[in-house]
Amino acid sequence: MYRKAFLEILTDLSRRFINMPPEHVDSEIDDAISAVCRRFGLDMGVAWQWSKEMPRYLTITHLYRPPGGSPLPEKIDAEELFPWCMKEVKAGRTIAISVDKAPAEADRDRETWAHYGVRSTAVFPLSPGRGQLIGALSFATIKTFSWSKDIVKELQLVAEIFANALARKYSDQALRESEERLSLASTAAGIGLWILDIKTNQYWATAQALQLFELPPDYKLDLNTFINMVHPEDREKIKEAMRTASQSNDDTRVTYRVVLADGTIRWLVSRGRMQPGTAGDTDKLMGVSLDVTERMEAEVAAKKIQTTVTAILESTQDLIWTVDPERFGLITFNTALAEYFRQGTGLVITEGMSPHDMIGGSFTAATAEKWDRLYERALRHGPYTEEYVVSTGTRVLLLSLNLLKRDGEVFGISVFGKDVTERKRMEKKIEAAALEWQTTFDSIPDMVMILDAERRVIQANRAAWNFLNVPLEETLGRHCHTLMHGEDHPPADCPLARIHEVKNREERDIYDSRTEKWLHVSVDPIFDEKGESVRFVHMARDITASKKAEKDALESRRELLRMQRLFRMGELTASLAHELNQPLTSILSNARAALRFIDSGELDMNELKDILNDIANDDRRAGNIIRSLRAMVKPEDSEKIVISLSDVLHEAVSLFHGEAIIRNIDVDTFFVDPLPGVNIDVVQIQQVLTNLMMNAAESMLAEVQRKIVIRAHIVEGGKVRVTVSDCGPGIADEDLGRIFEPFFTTKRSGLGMGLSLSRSIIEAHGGHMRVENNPDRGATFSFELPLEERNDDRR
Amino acid sequence: MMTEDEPVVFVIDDDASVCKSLMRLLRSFGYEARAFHSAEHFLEQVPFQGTGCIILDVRMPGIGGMALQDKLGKTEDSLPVIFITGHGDIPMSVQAMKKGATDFLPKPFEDGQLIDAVVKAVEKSRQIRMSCNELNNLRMRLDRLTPREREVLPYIIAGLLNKQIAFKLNIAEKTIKVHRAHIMEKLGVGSVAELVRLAEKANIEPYDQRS
Repeated sequence: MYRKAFLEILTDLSRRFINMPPEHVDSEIDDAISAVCRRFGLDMGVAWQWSKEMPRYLTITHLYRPPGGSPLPEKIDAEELFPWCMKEVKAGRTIAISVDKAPAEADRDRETWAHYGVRSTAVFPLSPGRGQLIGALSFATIKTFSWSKDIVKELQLVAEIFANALARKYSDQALRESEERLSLASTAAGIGLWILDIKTNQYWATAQALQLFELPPDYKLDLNTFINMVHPEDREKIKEAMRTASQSNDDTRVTYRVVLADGTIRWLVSRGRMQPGTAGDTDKLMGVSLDVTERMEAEVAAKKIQTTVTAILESTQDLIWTVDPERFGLITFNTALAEYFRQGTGLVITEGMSPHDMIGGSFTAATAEKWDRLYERALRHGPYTEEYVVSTGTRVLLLSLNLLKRDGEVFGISVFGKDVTERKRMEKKIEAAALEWQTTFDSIPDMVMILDAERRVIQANRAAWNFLNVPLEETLGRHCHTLMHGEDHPPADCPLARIHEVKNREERDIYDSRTEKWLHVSVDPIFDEKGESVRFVHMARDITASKKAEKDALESRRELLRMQRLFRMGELTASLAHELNQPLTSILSNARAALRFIDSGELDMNELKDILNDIANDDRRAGNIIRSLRAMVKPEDSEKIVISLSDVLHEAVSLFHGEAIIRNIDVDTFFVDPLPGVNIDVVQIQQVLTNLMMNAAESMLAEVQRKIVIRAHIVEGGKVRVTVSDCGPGIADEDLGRIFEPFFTTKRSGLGMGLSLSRSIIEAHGGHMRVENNPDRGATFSFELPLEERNDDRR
Repeated sequence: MMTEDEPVVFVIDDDASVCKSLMRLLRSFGYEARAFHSAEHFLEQVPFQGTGCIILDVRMPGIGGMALQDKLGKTEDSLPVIFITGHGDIPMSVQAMKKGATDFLPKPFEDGQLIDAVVKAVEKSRQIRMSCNELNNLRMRLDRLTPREREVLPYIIAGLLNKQIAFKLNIAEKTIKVHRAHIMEKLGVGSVAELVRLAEKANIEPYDQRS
């Protein structure tokens, strides 16, 4: 009966467990355990799950036990609570014992059993087909129970049925989980899965796959519809790919465009192969598809960037290239580099060429090694720039090496080579020019400084810092006046005192009392593009010596002039005596007459008054002659005054009067009186006039008609011209050019200085002296003097 | 013929002051003085026929003193000239004296020097005037001679005999004798010697026997 009952259960179990859907397995096992326990009078039945992932633990999946008793945890640490049992189960052995008959090594197990009041137990490993252990099935009683061989054997069968069912359930579960994971992953990755039935041309496709075509999840896609959605230009490509795939077992990959309903274009990549294991009579092509629009667009964009970069690289004459970091083979290079080699050594460079592949002509093995070292240096020490003189020495390249990195990994070295030959040449030229400038600057014997608008020294030449007796560095940045004069301000008479008013070159002689030196200083402003004076060239020349020489020369010249005047006086003595004798005669005669009138007692007081007045006038007249004589000979400093030229002419003519009388010469004058003022040294101009009149008189010694004509009139350019004409024989043509030379004379007596000095006097007054022969007779000397500009202020 | 009045002193000097003072001085000595500031002005005057003298400055603009002396010297009755000069030199004074100047005074001069010169010059003027009168007288007498007598005169004063003269002029000796008598009578001389002196005064040249 017992046996029969058990077989019923077993048959029932077997029948139910065949083709049982996985979702029913658990409840069937629950029912089965409970049926077995009741049938055999067992108090507890448990199905445990074990996995490799957690080998110490057992998890209760199914439990039968009557109410009451200690609660069972869902998961137990089997190694801790049932070490012996676990060992036996893992070894695939079945346990069926009374607790008290358990071996000694099961002490810890016994304690656990005692805890739950178990008296006897049976444990069966769950391993489908004697393979992988997936769990255990255990039964227990709280009273003594005798595990007969039959019972154990039968329970063994149950365990096997359970094991198979559970295994199936687990694998089904795993499959479903893996399917879910795949779906989740493919959805997340935007990957669509599909299978094409070649016989029916129908697709099975995941919602994600359909989504790629913007089709609803339940859309039934067929091959024609698919082909129609492919971009017309890519249809052949698709068909070709499908043909290839159907004739091999390998993956076939194709990238193509589809045109969506709204007209947008989407790039897809599909990978497919024939369904495995069905090769030969294939009817299913399975595969995945992926939206790569972004990538393709990125690629297009990248290509655009690439094109732009290439255009940039090609647009420059500079050499640009990249090499790999292992053997320094060319990765990319621009035409400029290619041209560099083509023209240099005739080499046509190609990708991958290392320096050693480029050897030829002037690019020697040594050059190649040099290049290697350049690259190695970049790899070792990072980016750098250096000037590189090419092997022929004719060109200079400025090389900038940089490292190309991706994720911190160096994948190349980029080189930018700028041909700086011309620049270097210019630099050399500029250097040479600068040196030339500096040398020139320093060789100027005058002090030259370049000042900023604040009068601070920017540059000073050797003469300057030598004069200042300080090294160049100490002059820079300091104020000119501090250095030169030790003052806080420039001297008032220095043009720098009014630095911002200086618009043109200004120069002046200034006296520096500190060094007791005369300096000739000049200031030339340098203008910026806005026309503002920003810098000044300040020159100073020590003219102390020449000042002294000038003074000496002035003194000797003055002495010479005086000598000439004295000499002239000597010549004029006779006529001067005549001039003095006239008033003396009058005075004496008047005095005698008066005395006689008194003696005769016929004195008329009015007469006497007249006589005395006349005496006084003649005395004054004599005094004037003496005074003008004294003026002619005194060695006083020259003094310029503004005076009407007519006054000067009158006095000169009157001084010459006696001479004219003695020599029987008529002196005619033609000029308006008064003439405008001139700023002159009267004595010197008198000297000139006297010289000219004396020369005129001398020239007419042999003439019967003797006449001197003096004219004066205003001429253009604010000048007055004075002419002195004689009617002598004129001047021989060969003498005209030499007549103003010193010591030139045609007279038997004479210094030969008169005309030379006269001309120098006139020129010192800013005028000119000329001579020409008259058309009829005689010669005319003329000179011009500038009129005083402020004539209005006069008189 | 003018009456002989008081002498007049002409002062010619371009220097007004000198002129004026000399006029005063001369006046103090009782002379009538007239001043001219240039030779040209003086020459514009109606010729002076009386006695007197000229005080003449050597150097003047225009016609100078020496040139004026030359001009004046061509007439027989010219006034004596006293040169004054502020620039006296010896060659000039010699030249002036040769030309008949009575004195050459360098300026300035004492009043005595001037007056002495003036007195001397006026005296000379008087003599000139007198001899001038004499000459005029002689000329009037000579004018009374016939042309033939005028022709014979040079031969007589040359000391030729009547016969010689007759031979030279190819006329009769007797006729010559008549001419001689008439000449002696008309000219109021008693001897040939007297006639010779008179002819000399009248500037009549004797016949040159060598010709």
